[in-house]
Amino acid sequence: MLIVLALLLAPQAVLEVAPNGSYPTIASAVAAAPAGATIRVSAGVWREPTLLVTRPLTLVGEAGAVLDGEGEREIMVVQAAGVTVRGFTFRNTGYSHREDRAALYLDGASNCLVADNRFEDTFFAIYLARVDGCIVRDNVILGVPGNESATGNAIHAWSSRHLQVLRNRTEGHRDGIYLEFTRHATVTDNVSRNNFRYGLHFMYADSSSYTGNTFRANGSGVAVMYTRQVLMRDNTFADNHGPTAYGLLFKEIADATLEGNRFLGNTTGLMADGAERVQVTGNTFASNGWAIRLLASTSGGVFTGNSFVANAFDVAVNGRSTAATFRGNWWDAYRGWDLDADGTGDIPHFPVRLFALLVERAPAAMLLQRSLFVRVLDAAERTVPALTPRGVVDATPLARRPAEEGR
Amino acid sequence: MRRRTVVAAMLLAVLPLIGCADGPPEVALNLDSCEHCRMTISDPRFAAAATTSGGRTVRFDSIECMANWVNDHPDDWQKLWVTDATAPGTLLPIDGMRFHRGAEGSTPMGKGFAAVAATSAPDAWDGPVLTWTELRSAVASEGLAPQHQHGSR
Repeated sequence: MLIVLALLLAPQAVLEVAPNGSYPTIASAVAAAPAGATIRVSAGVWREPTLLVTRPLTLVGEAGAVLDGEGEREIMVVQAAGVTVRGFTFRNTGYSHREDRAALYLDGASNCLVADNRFEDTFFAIYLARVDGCIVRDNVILGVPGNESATGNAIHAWSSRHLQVLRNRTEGHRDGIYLEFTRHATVTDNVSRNNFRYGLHFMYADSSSYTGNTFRANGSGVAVMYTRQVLMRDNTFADNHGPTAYGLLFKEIADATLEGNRFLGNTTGLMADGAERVQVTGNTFASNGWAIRLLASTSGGVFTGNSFVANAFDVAVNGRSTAATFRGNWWDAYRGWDLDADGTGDIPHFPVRLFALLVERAPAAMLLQRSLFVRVLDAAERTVPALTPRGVVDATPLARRPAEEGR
Repeated sequence: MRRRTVVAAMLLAVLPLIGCADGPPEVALNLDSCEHCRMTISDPRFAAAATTSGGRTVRFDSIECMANWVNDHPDDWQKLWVTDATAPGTLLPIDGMRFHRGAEGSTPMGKGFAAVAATSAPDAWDGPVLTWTELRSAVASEGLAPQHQHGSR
């Protein structure tokens, strides 16, 4: 109590690190600084042994302050609560098979703030282990160009709680943002692009949300795996191309809400394998190969108020028994009318094309996609449905496309 | 333009993968996905593969996923392959390897299993050594999630 009081009353110590000052190295300032002090690091390239922070300190890099790992080491390890790291450029950690080397490693460092830093050519950039209540915001993280087998994640959280990840930019890493055994994380307004595996990756990361992010041209946009209770709102999943590329992958998840997102130009927009009780509402799926693929392992999905525009396939399933509830969506492939002007089409819409079903069973049939045969097949199936799953039907397809924010 | 790219990617998606009979299977990093958990295979240190009874190759992002798949499909494989975590890039027959259980969170599925050549130094990897059979039993009894996390769920 007295210590806290002393900290509050004492004028806050500020230690300046500069080549010819009282603290010529960052390590000397860190060693001398009392808890609660601020260390300001002047411009220049600082090459020091890994910095170990074990007291609550605020470390601020002035413009041009670069911390260089010289290709062989972690740069800063934080093992205390209440540490702020702001304004630095971290670069060049190098890579090791034996350790998950990170430019900034925060171990048990609760209530940390990591803001306005830049990371270049680091294996892992920010690694949070067993932290509670940290904020990671406004960092720019650029991976090692062309080094896709030796790159870790840009922002990696393991076994952490109450994490906020805001407005960061991540590129050229394995995953842009990875949440593993992490709960109550909010991931907001970040941009992840050109990461080799996923823009954002959930692994056993229950009760978390991500909102307003853009995931563009990653291996896949977002993978939510082995996780319960995820809220996904107002994100953009764009330009994920490749045989196993998805805008969004669900694998063994339950109780998720997917609302107001845009899926644009992906090979597959949404892939659901083992998803239970997923609410998919008010999303736009445009110009994708497959807008949505539902595997039979998926159940209890409810799809309402979504728009399906210019996709090669709107919905594909891998068995006739797949069931999901589709209600009040807008389908550009709908061929009915709204003669009673109640806002919904007068006949139901079956979004699974017969051809989509054939492709799920015999992928090579894709070669026929643009053929006259397939058009005749689809028209015949529409007229006299015989093979497409009866369980996948929108009884009230919207007559008009719902308005989308920002369109 | 975008549409054309999407269609091209869809065609790629359905081209059957033709396995090669001799030599170790290859893993296309960041393109191939795990047969068991569907995760894209990205960390070359823990990549693994099985040659199935039908001669197909199935690939895994981690040793724990292959162990799970083998437990689920005991009669469906003829050959198993893992990576020496200290020399990634090539799959090796499982017979000449030994296994370590390193730190949780250090592998794609988080359980920490790594393989190194049986002839490598005892400290080539972290953690206790175990056999493939012991590894399979561990995965069978614990499930896929790392151990200590079970208690807190």
